[in-house]
Amino acid sequence: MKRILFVLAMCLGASACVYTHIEAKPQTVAGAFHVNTPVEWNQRDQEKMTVWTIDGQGLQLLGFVNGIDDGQVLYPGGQPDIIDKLPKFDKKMSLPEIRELLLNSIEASSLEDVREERFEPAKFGGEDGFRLQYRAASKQGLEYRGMLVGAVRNGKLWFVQYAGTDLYYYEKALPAVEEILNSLKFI
Amino acid sequence: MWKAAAFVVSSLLLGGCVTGGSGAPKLTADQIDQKVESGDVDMQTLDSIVDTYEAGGDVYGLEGLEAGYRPALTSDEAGIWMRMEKLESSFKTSGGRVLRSDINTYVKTVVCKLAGPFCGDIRIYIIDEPVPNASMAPNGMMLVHTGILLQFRNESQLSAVLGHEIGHYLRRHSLQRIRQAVQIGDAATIFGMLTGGIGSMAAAIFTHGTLSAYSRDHEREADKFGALLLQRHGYSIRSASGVWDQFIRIENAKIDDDKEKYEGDEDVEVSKGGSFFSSHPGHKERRDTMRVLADRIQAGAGPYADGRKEYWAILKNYRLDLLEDEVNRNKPAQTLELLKILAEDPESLGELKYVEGEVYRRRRKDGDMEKALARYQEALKLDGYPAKLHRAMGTVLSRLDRPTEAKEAFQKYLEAAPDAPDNKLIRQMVNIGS
Amino acid sequence: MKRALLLVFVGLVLAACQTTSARTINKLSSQSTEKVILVMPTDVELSELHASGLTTPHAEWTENARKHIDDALRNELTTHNARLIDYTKTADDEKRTSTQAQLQKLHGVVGATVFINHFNPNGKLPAKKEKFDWSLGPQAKVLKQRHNADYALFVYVRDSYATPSRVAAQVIGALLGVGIQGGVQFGFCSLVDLNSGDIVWFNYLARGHGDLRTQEPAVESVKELLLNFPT
Repeated sequence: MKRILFVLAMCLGASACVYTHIEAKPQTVAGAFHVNTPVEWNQRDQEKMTVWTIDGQGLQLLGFVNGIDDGQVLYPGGQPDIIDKLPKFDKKMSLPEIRELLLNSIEASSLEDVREERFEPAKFGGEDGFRLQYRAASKQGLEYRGMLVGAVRNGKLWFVQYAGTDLYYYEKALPAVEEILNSLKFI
Repeated sequence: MWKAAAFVVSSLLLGGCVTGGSGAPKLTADQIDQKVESGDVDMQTLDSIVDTYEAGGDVYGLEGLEAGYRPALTSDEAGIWMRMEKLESSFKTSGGRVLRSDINTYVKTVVCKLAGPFCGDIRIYIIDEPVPNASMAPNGMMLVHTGILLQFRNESQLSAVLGHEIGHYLRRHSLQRIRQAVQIGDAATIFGMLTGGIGSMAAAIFTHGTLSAYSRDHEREADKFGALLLQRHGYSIRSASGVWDQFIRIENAKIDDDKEKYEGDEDVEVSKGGSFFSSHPGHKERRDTMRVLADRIQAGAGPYADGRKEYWAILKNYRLDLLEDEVNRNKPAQTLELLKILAEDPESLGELKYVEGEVYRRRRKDGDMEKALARYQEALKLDGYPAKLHRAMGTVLSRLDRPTEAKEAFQKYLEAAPDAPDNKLIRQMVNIGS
Repeated sequence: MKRALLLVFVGLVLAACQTTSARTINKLSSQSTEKVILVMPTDVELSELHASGLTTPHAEWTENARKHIDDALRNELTTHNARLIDYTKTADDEKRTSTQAQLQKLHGVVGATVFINHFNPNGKLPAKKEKFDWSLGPQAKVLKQRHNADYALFVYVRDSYATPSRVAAQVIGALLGVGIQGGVQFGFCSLVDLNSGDIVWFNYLARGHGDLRTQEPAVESVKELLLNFPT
């Protein structure tokens, strides 16, 4: 609730949370990727992350991140007390270290009981990358599922994160998300 | 409708002004201290607790609070309980609650032993939160952070803190505090105690500081209560007082972490204080008080137990998780000091050495990878290191450009944990270039 | 803070938009002749507004309000030819991952989302094209099966009333030409179709008057809460 109210407070500053319409066709997103989406989305720009949602960000969220620099955190747009707790990306990180970075970042981003389901090598936009699948709960105890797919390229960390409620909303957009990920290419 | 809305908004803004403008002067911590020292606040009552006990009286019945107590429906206390019960009900299914039954049962057993007839009035929730803290809501909902469980070396230390919280409940400190806050219009305290503070999970506790919401004389009273409950149940007060020595050591290490964090930031003056118990009486005062009490009521008598074996029997299944959460706080100097403290007991030293290596590996300063590697190698010769040590070692060896040894380490990890969620990745690490 | 934010937000929404309810069906339906509505635990809290501007919860008022709301709901909905049954808690309600606990938590987030992204003109989701299609999903059937009900009704109400010293401040404020709020009533209700999980009706109210402590005004408040309820 607190987090939602934070979003809500942000929304009071009118333009801060206005969503734009993304049509079901090839799109350029976050200034970084070409993707093809089979369904329509609502888009909102946050710091370092372009967010797509169908039903609302608390229900399902697809975030595109345009290159995290060496020494930066994964979610620079969060609340200050959260940013303070986030571990920093280091371009020399090997995949086991990336795995740790992702899990610790998700845990610190105000989710509880983060459970790693799978972490494995995977292609991302044609690059050798990784795919993390996890489950977690909100502070209020609502169960979420999520995945984070990305790669390190030119010393930066690029990724797409998808999360949604375990009940209904994660699965609702999952096929579309898989199609988007399959179509993803770096600009 | 539009008019009503404008009304709501404007009156809210005004409401804010009214709140800001009113309010009697609030006592500062120092003023309260002065009062306590001058005897203005009820120090005699505190001493009478000791006297009551020594005269063989019943320490539980001090406030006339009876077991199974519930406030009358028309009272302000009932409103506070109602809110707390609602929060507690959402708490039961909150994301941060630790559900493991062994640790829950154990803490409950100790609380029941200490609280005697009030056992049924106190409900314990263990929260997955590394910042060391514990708190008591007015209705008997007790929150215990995993981070504080990691700080204890024995059951007497745990009991001192649990007894302290039980003291808050029996003396209804938070009710007094809320009443005072309502009277003087102290919005921060009210919001802290009725919403964020106790209700909405651990992170909020530290923004609002549930513990710091109690005044210092309440803390002193609760400390004495804790000590008396230790005495009543045969725990060594002196051994329990060691927890304050431990906090003092970690507090001192905090300065190094702060220096690191604020390096080059001229606006920040790094000093002691500002930590989780900042509105409590100082660690040193609390330790000294306990020692005086130990000498006064446990001199020569005995035997008094510290319950180290009992505590370890539970914590051993759990400590590595807690230590990893501690490492994630990214306060390396404090974590290293804590590890030193814990290593004074002989159990699972390999686990502690491994975590020491983790602190260096994660800090990543010059020379830290070498330090981490050396700790892992030491850990391998000790008891209790976990399988993931091999993975950490492989990671460090990769960083140090020693690929053949790194592969060996990853191979060992695969053998020790073949079903790990990252096994595909590790297999790839083993097979690179081969 | 939470409360203040919520109220400011509700205020802004109201300022820009007259609609306070949304519905996707006009009539209730059921496979049997009788339509059964499962009333989820009503989340009600009445508070006392102090002279200092702070509110503290009031147990007795809340207890009375709960009764009045319950009675008024029953009276109001019998005219819709529906039978109400109360949700009964089980041990699973205290188990975080149980479906029934999760459904209630999901409803909380969906409710907030409806505020932020449907009624709030600044948060509109353009791809929705004004469609009201929020849902708890097919797992809502768990509630249907357990209670043998067609719909679930969620009720949330917060209300505050001034203490005598606050009233005095109001009077003085009025003399000085400054309006000091006497108390705020805020609530919302939603109806979930337990076959599909879809939210078929949603309504909220936020205003500076109304009284749930006594029966008669409570009936009026509940009428407002049930505005545009499907017949």
